Amino acid sequence: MTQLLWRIFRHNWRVQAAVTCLFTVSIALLIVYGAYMERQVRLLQLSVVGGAPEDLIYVQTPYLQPEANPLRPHHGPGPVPVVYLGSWRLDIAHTNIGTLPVVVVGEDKGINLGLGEGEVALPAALSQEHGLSIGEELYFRTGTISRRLAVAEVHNEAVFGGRLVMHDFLHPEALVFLYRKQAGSWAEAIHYLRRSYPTAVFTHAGATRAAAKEIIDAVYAPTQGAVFGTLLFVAIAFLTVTVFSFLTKRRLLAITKTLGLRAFELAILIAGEAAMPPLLGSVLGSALGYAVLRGLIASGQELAIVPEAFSSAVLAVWPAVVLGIAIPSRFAQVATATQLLYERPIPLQTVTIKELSRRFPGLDKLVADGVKFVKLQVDSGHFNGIVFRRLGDFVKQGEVLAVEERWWGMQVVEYHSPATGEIVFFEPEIGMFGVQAALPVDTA
Amino acid sequence: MNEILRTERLNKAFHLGETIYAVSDVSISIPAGKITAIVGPSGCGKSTLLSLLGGLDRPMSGDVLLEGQSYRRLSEDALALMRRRRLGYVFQFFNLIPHLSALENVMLPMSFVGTARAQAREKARELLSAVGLSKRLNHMPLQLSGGEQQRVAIARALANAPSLVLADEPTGNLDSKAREDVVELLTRFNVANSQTFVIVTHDDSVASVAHHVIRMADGRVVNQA
Repeated sequence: MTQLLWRIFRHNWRVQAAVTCLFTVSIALLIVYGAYMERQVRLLQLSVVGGAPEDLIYVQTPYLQPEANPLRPHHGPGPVPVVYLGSWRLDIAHTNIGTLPVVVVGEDKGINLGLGEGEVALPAALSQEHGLSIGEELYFRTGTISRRLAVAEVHNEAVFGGRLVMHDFLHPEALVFLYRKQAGSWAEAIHYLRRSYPTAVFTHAGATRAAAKEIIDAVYAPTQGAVFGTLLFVAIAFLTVTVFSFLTKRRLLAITKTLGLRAFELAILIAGEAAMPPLLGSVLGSALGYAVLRGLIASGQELAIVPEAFSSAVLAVWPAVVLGIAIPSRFAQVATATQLLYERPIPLQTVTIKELSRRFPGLDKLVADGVKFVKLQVDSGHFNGIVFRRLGDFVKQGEVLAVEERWWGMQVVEYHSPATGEIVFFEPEIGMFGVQAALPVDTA
Repeated sequence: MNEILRTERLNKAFHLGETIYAVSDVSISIPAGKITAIVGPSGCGKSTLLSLLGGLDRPMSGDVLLEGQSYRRLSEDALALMRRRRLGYVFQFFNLIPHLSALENVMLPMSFVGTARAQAREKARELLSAVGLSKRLNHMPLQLSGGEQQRVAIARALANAPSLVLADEPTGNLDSKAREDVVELLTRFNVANSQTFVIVTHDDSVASVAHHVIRMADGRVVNQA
């Protein structure tokens, strides 16, 4: 059964191919766009916390203090959520290469990069920019220190960002206390630390990422509007195609219903047909997006292949897909087979409205009697469609009186009865129906 | 008389200032294995009655019983299954599937009831040979004349060997030669397979071969003979 039915309901392959292409291109574009946005977020995040390991928590107190606050006893299950790594304060140093931010490590917990007395560590970017290498000297002056320091290390900015690093064990006051999360969630770790630092500001990779995303979203709001517009276009296009596709198949649906196909079987067929382009488009679009990303990466673009960009792109088009599948499927379920019993193709010719009044003098009386009219569109004396009803037929409100095909069958226009009642006027030359309004009888 | 189908006070009505019954209080009995013709002037409710007999439309009151089974309590799906297994339809405008060949059109109803593809193909060949289209098996509907399309439609209606075949003006769109062929076919299948045919028609040549004629006017049965 499946093979024959599939051939019946999948005859308009050109439209299907066009819709598949639309999905493919949209999804590929969304993937590349998602990867680009991810890059922007990552760059902004890096500029805030450097390339810090993801498990570090920076606790910034509002004022300098000589040592870290003692951690409260941990009563929960599992190990203590955080472990203390060390502390520093932030300062500004006037140097012979400019005024620079500096981290002054106040205690030796292994985070001072092994610096000794009179030594300084430079961030990699600064070292490269000024051509300073290990062993060279830097004139250095802060509020408490003024001396020449030897460059002993070039750090990768992972923990300290783009700042100079030196130590000052004599003055260990610190502003930033560094912890590593070792158990539980971020929320649990922060909650635990907040008990010891009630007024501090907590920074960690997750929080900075969220903040960076928020900023990027705000900056790229117009672009995201364009993306939303694209999605809306895809949704409207897909829904239009699936509904028109259903309309062109009404006759086929009616025939198969008459032959005994059940409503849900029809719905499955229509849904299956509608689901093919988005499914295929999702696969092809993902492949195309991947290929484009690989190409961009190979050409030197700082992009990454992010799985989230793929899943987001595919999921973004699925609200449209669900609508585009559900609506025609529902139509297919409720489509009636009775129209086949009354089908009468009638060739139509056209006349002007003046001729109409002259030739049908009784029309005014029908209008006065409350007859409602439907006019079919005839073009050059030809109606490109099928008329289902004729004079004297009883029709229900909304019932299809005739269908007209436009755009080579891609668009189907239905002419519906404006009321339940009898067709009391039908003039095939001009394609006009007149329906005398009626009400269904209560037959309880 | 051994009846296959019976209606009990069937009504289908609309209100046009006054109540107008498309089908009014129709109680008929269709004898099994016979040809029954429903005749009457245009707009008298013949096609509406046929749609009610086939379970395509629901009556406003009354009931239809096919081999003793009432339609009233059948769901839409149950009615569809009944049409699939026990009814065949022939329309004035053939209603063949344009994307399928003559052979595939006849195979389609058999595929609905789960007949194996090879078996369905063989049966479809037999039926198309029986209607004189053994050389047109792979023609598409648009490549066939009106008479040939109607013969394919008759073969399709008989595909699942239904106990009842409903035909709505089966000769209404055919020339006289094709009309004679169709009437001959219906008669032949009726005799050969003892299948019951209910035919809505204006055509006297069809009515003349019927064993049982029901005349309708204004939605009512005015005469049964």
